[in-house]
Amino acid sequence: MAGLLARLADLGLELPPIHPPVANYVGATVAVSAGQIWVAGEGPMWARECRFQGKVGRDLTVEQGRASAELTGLNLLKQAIVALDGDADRLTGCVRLLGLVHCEPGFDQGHQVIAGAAELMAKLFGPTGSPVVSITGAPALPIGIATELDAIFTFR
Amino acid sequence: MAGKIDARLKELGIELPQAAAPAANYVPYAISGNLLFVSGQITMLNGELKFVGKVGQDLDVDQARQAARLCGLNLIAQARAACGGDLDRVKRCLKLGGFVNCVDGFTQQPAIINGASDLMVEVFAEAGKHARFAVGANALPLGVAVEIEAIFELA
Repeated sequence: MAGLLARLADLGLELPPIHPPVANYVGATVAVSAGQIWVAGEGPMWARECRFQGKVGRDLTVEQGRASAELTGLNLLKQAIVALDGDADRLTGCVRLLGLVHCEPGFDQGHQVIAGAAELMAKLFGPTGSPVVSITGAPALPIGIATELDAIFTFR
Repeated sequence: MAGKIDARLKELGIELPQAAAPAANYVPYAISGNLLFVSGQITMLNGELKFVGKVGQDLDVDQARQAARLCGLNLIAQARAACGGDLDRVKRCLKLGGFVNCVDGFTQQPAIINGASDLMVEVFAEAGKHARFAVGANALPLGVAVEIEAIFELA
């Protein structure tokens, strides 16, 4: 199988430039003994520019929400790769995603939004590297981002 | 030969629901090392959606506790599928994460998520005691009242 970055390129996707956390925490921690990387909550950012802001179902369509989740997933991936000193091919999968969807009460399509990130991971890592997912709505998120996700990746 | 946990389920009169397919394109469980991660389970009973609505508006605390128990049954059903049918491979329920679709200002999330926590201890005894969080949410997938995720340790 081609390397991870080549698979991304095949999907027409690019990793966003890294941005440091906005408060006193780190982007990712590496649990070496478990072979896992725990990545902090990310948003749909391109460096410091937020690409998807507002509530899904009100300000943004479900499709835009999916795109927001996919870009958020790319930020998670970038953090995991940085945690491995840039060696993307050591990543073996994404085991877990927690997805927060910025929305109004009563919005019931959060799973379709977060699928944008879950499908990205499934395409990159295949069925054995696909994540479990938990999804919740949120009335407010940092700087008004449409989606926030955190993740656990696996590496060798 | 029936396992110990299967025997315990029978003793409790519990029939596990069918392990539900995820609501969207993701996997129901994943194993990393000796940890079994289970996707957030909702109030699906053998393909039928139950307990839809907001707690404090459409459902009361007792109904929502039943909803949480159903999420817990679905978590155990997924764990059984992940273990190839042998629940005796579950060494410990490490953590539950509970989301309650509720009105603003509602504060009884812990009492609701107890519906799943109590179930884990009924079924797995000492090994069912877990860490957890319980949080209010303004919306959940398909409008369900409760969603619960879990991490189990496998033998």
